[in-house]
Amino acid sequence: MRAFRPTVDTKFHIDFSWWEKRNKDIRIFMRDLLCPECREAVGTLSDVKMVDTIDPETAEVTRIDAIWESIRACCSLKPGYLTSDTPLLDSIFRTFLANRNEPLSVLELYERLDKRPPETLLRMLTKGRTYLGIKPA
Amino acid sequence: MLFQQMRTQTAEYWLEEFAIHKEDVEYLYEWFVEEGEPRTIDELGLKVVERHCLGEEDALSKKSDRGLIYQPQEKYEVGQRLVFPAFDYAVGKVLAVREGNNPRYGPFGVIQVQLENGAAPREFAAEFALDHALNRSMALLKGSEGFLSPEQLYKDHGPSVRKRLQDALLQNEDFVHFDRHWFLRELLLEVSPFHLNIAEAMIDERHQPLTISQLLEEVELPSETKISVRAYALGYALSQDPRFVEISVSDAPTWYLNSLIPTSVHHKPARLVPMYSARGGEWLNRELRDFVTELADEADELEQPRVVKPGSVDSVQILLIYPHRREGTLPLPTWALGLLLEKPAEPLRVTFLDQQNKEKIAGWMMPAEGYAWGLGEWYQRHGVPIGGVVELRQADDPVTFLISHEKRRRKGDWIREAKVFRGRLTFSIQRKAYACHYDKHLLIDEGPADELNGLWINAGQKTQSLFEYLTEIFPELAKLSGQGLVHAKTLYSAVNLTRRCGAVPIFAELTRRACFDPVGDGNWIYDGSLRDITYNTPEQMSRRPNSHRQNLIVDRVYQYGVNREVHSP
Repeated sequence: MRAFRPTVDTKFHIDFSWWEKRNKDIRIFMRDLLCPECREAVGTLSDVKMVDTIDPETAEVTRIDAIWESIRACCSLKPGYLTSDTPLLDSIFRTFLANRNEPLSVLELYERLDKRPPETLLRMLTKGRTYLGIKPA
Repeated sequence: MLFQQMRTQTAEYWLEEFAIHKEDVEYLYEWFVEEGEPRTIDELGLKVVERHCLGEEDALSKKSDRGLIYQPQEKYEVGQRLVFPAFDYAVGKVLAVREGNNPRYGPFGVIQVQLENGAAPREFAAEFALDHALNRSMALLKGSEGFLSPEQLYKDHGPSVRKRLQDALLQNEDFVHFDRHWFLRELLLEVSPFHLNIAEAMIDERHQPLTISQLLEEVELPSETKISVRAYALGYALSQDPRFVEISVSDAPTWYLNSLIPTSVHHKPARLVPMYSARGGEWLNRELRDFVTELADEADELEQPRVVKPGSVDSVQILLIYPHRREGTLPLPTWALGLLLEKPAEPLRVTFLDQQNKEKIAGWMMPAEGYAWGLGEWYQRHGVPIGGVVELRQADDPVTFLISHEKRRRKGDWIREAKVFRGRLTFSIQRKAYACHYDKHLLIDEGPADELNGLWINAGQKTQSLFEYLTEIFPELAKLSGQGLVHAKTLYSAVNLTRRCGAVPIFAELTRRACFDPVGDGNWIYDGSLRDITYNTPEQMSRRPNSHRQNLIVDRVYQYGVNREVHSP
């Protein structure tokens, strides 16, 4: 049996089970990404509720955490969310949060972020430890 | 009145969802069989658009009998049956209704729907008042105001359709394409080697490019088939045979024989390949920068697409340098391409028409390579020297160009003559007369061609650096002047007697080397004692602090290809 070897076309996403297995609360990370207005609106972590979100193409409704929904619908659209100073792996994490965690290949990430060559991105995502739960989908 | 929501009426469909399916290709296949004629990609694209529109209409008319078309803005009740266009027109039944919860959207409802063949119920928005693609894409019934016809849809989204269709057809061996037309391989008429030999003989005999119609006069393909099919089959066969080359200049393609195309057209002559060319950013003083503009050497053009507005110029005047004179070529700097029509062929067969005696000269232009070929004899006959001014003017016909030189009264002048002495390039002054207008600084009589041949060094051959060569050739030229002066353009012309070099690399050396000093009117002087000193800053290049000259000209310096002046004296 051959080992699975990701390529620049392999799709990645945030694997939430990775967070659960490590008993880490992704919402703590997500909360740090909220803009000041959303941070105030969301309140403390214990106040956070699930909300309905509507797919812009199909109108399908899914229920997601209010913090994530705020990031997707508001904070990720603001200029400071992704900047040239944002570290590369953080940028990838933020990209997935903003796009509903739709899986993206390294090439697609490269096209969106335009920071480092696809091969470098692939190396960073596959060599060494998993960062922020970003794994092949 | 029944309103229907048609995905094919939306830009999203054509830009994102649209794909070429096996059924589309089969549809085109059948269409070709019925029509029996080659078609352009636009004709095929429109057929595919029509098919998708009709397919959706059919699907909707069938599905809408089974339920309402779902739209997020509508209110629904438990038990209603809905059709979901975004889910390939799946039909579903509303199981439950609840209030939506998201302050960002305001009040809205959520319906729980069990889709046919769906495992688990899914939820969809209802009574949703904000803008949504599914609401936006609401199209009126066919024929109503706002309904887009397939023609209009293709006009709006043609590039997206064309690209996907072209990709699909290229991967399918049943289709062939040639000259912007597609056809079925199995419908291609057979063009035999005999037919191709006839075509070859016709072109060879007439020694000129022939159109497909002209070739079909003697290449006899079955006359019962449509002329368009015969023309396509012959054109396609010619395109697959390396003996033939298409050298179209307009909508009527013409065919020629590769064997009749001169070697200098197939391959850029080695003498025209620059050993040194401009890279951009070189420092030049103001006077030298102006000379670069005046000389318009194609080797000084910075790398960029050779794009100019077709027909933007009526005529161009070009200064002839030795490599072009020797090869019988004419430089075509980018601005000279404004003489040509849109998208000229490469190579482009042209006729040069001698403005003086109306003689026709067969020639070629290589727009992308930056030169024209076929003027060697004309240069000789008219005695156009190095430095001669040649004018090219557009004639009435888009591939005919009037060629001329400005005549002057033939009178004797003392001019530089190149000589090879003990394997080195030297110069002397001789009295000669030319009946052609020329740039006196570029003018050099090259003497016997064979002698200079021995000194020629092609790009890529190992030799001394440009600076070393300049320090060798400059003193030779300086001997001709009582004060040891050499004009910058003369130096450029002389360097090009033995290697191809743009003006910028030469002038950049003059500007940055302390051993060269400008003394006015384009003249420079050489001081061998300073040959190891290089000026590194714009200020030094401008003020030349190591100079021993009293009559030094202090001039501004500029970076070539950069639109800002960096240092003023």
